[in-house]
This record gives sequence, C-alpha cells and structure tokens, in this order.
Amino acid sequence: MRPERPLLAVDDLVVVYRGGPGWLWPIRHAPAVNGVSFEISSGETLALVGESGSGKSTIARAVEGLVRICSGAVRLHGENVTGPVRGRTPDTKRRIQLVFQNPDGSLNPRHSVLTILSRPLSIFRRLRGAHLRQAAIELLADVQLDASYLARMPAQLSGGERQRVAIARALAAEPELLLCDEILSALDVSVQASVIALLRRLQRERGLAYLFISHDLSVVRWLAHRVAVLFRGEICEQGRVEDVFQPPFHPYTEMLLAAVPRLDGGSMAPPPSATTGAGPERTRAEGCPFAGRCPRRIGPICDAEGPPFQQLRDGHAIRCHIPAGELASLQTEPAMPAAPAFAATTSSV
Amino acid sequence: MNAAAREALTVSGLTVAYRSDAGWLPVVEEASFTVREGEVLGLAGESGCGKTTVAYAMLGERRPGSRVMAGTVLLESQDVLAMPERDLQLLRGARISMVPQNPATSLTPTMICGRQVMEVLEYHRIAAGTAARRRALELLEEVGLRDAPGAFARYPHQMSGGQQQRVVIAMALAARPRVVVLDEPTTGLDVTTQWRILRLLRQLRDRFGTAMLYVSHDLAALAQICDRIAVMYAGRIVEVAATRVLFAAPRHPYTRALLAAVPSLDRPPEAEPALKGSLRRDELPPGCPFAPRCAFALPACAVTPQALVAIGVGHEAACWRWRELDGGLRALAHAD
Repeated sequence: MRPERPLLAVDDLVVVYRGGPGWLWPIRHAPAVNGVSFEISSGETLALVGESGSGKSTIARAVEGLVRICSGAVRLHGENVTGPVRGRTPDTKRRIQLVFQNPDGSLNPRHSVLTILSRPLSIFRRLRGAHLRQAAIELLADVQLDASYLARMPAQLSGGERQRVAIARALAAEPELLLCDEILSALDVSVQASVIALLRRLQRERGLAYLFISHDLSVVRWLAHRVAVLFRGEICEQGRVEDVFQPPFHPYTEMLLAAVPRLDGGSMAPPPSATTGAGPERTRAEGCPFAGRCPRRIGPICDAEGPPFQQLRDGHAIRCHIPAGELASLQTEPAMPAAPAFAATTSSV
Repeated sequence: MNAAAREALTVSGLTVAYRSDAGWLPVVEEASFTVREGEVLGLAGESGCGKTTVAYAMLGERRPGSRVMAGTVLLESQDVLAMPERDLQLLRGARISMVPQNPATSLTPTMICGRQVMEVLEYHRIAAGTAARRRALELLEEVGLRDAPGAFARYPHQMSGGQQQRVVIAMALAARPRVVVLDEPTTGLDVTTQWRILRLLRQLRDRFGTAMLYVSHDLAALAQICDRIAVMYAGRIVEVAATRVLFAAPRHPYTRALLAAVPSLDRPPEAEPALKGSLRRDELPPGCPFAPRCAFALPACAVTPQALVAIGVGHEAACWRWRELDGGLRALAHAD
C-alpha cells in the first residue's frame, strides 16, 4: 500500500498532563493520550475524530512539539523529531504548521494582515521588502483574498476571512503538513464550503498533507482519506474513510454516527447509548476504555482485558472484543440509511 | 379568536438598528413571526444575519449600541418593547427566559449550581429557603442530571459542557415561563451531548407546553427539534415554513443555497459551493438583499424590494420569482 516512508509517523504516543485543575479532578493520572500510533503520507488527509476531551488537540500539539511527550516517537520523513519545538531545526518547524480553531485568538489584533504574514515569510523564507510584499500578495491570492487586504486589521475582517488569513500565514512557511485543529467549527456553512474547497485545491496542487481534527463527521466523511476515532486518548478504530463509515463499526464510532443530526430530522435514531448517558469511562484501568459506556458490552472481559486491534482490510482496524463479523451483522440494519433521505424527499414533493 | 389565544409570542415589524459612522444602520428589518404554545420556531441564518439581535429583543434586551426603531413584541398581549426596565426584570426568567450559547459564561463560576437555581426561584418569589432547595433539586432532576444532589453541590467548572447546559436549562425553566428563547444552545457541544440536549428540550416542551424560539446557524440541529423554521438573511426573514416543507421544498434561493451547503453524511458536497461570496452589509442593494449573491437574480431584483408573501399553507417567501423558479430550482436539483 505504502512503498515510501510516510511523511509523518507517530508511534505509541503517550502524553500525561501533570496535576490537573486541582484535587477535585477525579482522573488526575489518566493519560490524555495513550499509545496512539498513526501515519500520514504526502498529499493525504488523516482525520482525528472523537468527543471533547478525547485527546485530539493534545495529539496535534504533541506533533507540533508544544506539549511534553511522556513516551513514544514522532518522526518526520523517518527522522525523530520527538521533543519540544524549541529543540527543532528551523526546517522541521517550517515543514509542520498548525492552524488553530479560533482565528480571533491566534491573530494579533494590533497587527495588519501584512505584518501577520511577514513574520513567517522573513523567518522561514528570508524575504524582505518588495519580495516579501509580493509573496504576501500571492499568499492572499491562494486563499482567495486580494491585495487590498494587506492593510486591514483583523477586526476589519469577517470570521471566514480571518480564518483564511490564519491559513495563509501557515502556508507562508511552505509546510508539508498542516495541522488543522477544528478550523471550520466557528465558520458558517457557506464559508466552510469555501475553506474546504481551498484545502482540497492546495492538496491537489502541492501535495500538502493534513492532520484534520474535527468533531463534524459530515465534513470528515468527504474531506479525509483516512480516519482515526479517539476515545479517552486511545484510538478505538482507524482506517480508510469509506471503511470506517460503514459497518462493522467500533461501538463508539457507531454511537457517534447515530448522533449526527440529519436534515430529514424525523429519522433521528437514538444513539445506542442514549440511555447509558455519560457513564464512567472504564471500570478498571486494564479494561476497554469504552466499557463503561458501551451499549454492546459483552461481559466481564470488557472490564478485565484491553481489547485487541482486529485487522480488517486496507489497514482498517477495530479495537473490540466482539469479532468484526458479528459487529457487522449487528450494525447493518440501523446505522446506514439505504438511500439519501434528503434527496428522496426533495424529489417526492 | 381561539387561534390568537394560543399565540405565546407575537412579533410584528421588529426593526433594530446599530449606531455606525454613517448613522443608524438597520440590522433587523421588519421581522414578523409568531410562536404558539408548545411550538418550537427555529430562526436560522448565518453569522451577522441579525438572529441573535432578534433573540435578545424578545426579552426587551438591547445589545450595546443598538436601538429598536419600530415594532412590537407581544408576550401575552403585553408589549415587551414598551415596558420599563423594572418590569422587564420581573418578566425575564419568570414569563420569558433565555438559554444562551455558552453555558460556561452564563453560570456564575464562584457559586454552586444548586444555589444558582435557587436564586431564580427566590428572585421571582416562587419559593424560599428549604422549599427553594427542594424545588431546585427537582428541577435538576427534571433536566436529566443523574445525580441531582451531587450536581446541586458542584461548581460549574466541575461539570462537563453538557451538564452545565442542563443547569442553565433548569434555571431557564425554574419559573415555568411561557416562552424560552434559546441562542445556539448546543453549539460547541459534542454530537452525542447535543443529541441528549435536543431530546431533553423536546421532552420539556411536550411536558410543559413551553413555546420555544430556537436560534441557530445549524440547520441539521434545527431539523431535529423545530416545528417551523424562519430563515433570515441580512436582517430580513426571507422564508418561513413548516420544517419538513422547508427542507423538502425550499422556495427562496437563499434557503436552497444554504441547505445545499450543509455538510451531510449521506451525500458528497457540491463541487462548486452553492453559496458564493459573503454577506456585505455595507453593499446591500436597495431591492432584494440577496440579489448580489443569488444565482437566479435578474437586474430588477437589486432594485425591487421583496416582502414575505404567502405561497402555500403556512409557507411564506420573499422572492417574487418563487413561482417561476420553482420548476427551475427542481430541474437544477435533479441535474446535480
């Protein structure tokens, strides 16, 4: 499947936040990220999905070198770059860029768009004067903004424009991997659509790779090539997007998909765990992290033993004690609608 | 007469303007709608369309720098917009209440949650002392917090976002108001949490007959809970219909483009985004505000003001070409 070395390889990553917010924190010593491994190739999009607190952002920050890694390795083109960002070579920093969820918080309100774009252009590409200005105009063109935006301040931009400036700033370093941490969630659907089109075009033209963190499965479904589903800092399912979004599902993936609101409204199938609620995460440290909430729990084995990764086709892996074939037959009925319900109603009226 | 009696909230001709360098700039123009008892009306639209301004106006709240230029908001035949501030304070929370977007900032961080629910009960003289405590516990149970005594004693930061939002909903419902205004109540919550909050709201509506005005940019979330939906663009309501009708047969080009832009698990996004450009408040034409971005606009659209007209039972749209475009829209939908 993958002959050459992947662009990014994350191997058995463990991150533990020390302390926590105080003595009240019930799970102080639970790792935020536990034994996470994945690879991203050039021109590929890997999506990380999961609920808040599942460790998605921590993984991005570990790849960027912004949090302390307890164990495991981050490799870029096979070279070990584990460790804080200040220990990395300028070239490594250049290759990995991070775009944050909230452009309001990541753009300096006192800097013009030109100043914002100037920093990476001068640091990573050593541009000055007219060359720098020209490069900044080209970056704006990449994100479909014209040169008149150079003089504007962040406050004079709409949310979508700000997010595009944040993306342009990340692109200024000519990265190979863009870490996108919920970059669409603050945007309107129409702006989302144009940012998605932009990400696709950049990937097509430059072979840019994305680690795309999102809670929006409807976006992930059509943007990502591969998906890793995280629960409490551990990957419970990973594979090509078309495999992860159809049975057999990990019971947690199944629950997430069932909760996605659909435009036809009426269907709104209850997520299997609707009655379970947010229960305890796991009953024993050595068991399955999802055991406490799992609607398909089979018995004491779920609490006692960490489930194995069942390897299915094309790198699709599900971490569950229930055999994949059995999961598939349990899930084939309710989870995926036979036909797009929205299209059906449109044509019937 | 009976139909009128069942209306919990009646808004007519609401126009709100913000102060700008060029004078008063209208952000909501001539908004009219009703919410009946036990009904959930959705107010949909993109950021900057004026939907939050409408939401706050329902409680007689003015956002800083804004002014109500015209219109009435009738709550049980009393005009909220004409009330003095003192009366409004007794009204808010008692007869109409608000669930804002971010529960973390709407709860007091230094007060245990139960105390905050008790405050609502005591302020509106519904209960005091141990009776208020007992009632607060019941309310926390009502909103589905499993360990109500535990939730009572916890500070907001000790709870998840979904639990915090349940506490806010308990406070909003504490005085059994006739109308609850919800401003993006599930935005920022996980899908599984959103699912549970939406189910809770439907249960509460069914149980108490509360009228709800549900403001959101998320059409898929609105589809789960609303009986009817009003779509806003540039401060104006451009289409109103029963939820199923709106999704199945949108008649305004903006509604159609907006629906096409909603990401869906079941169909890939359109290669060409259906909604081009962005809303520029400073460049609105004198006619239809959507004309500059509308794929079906004629030159005359930019200079001809559009008003909502009835085009079916309970279905209104502000596009003079709705009839003409109906077939064309569907032909296009099939061509995709």
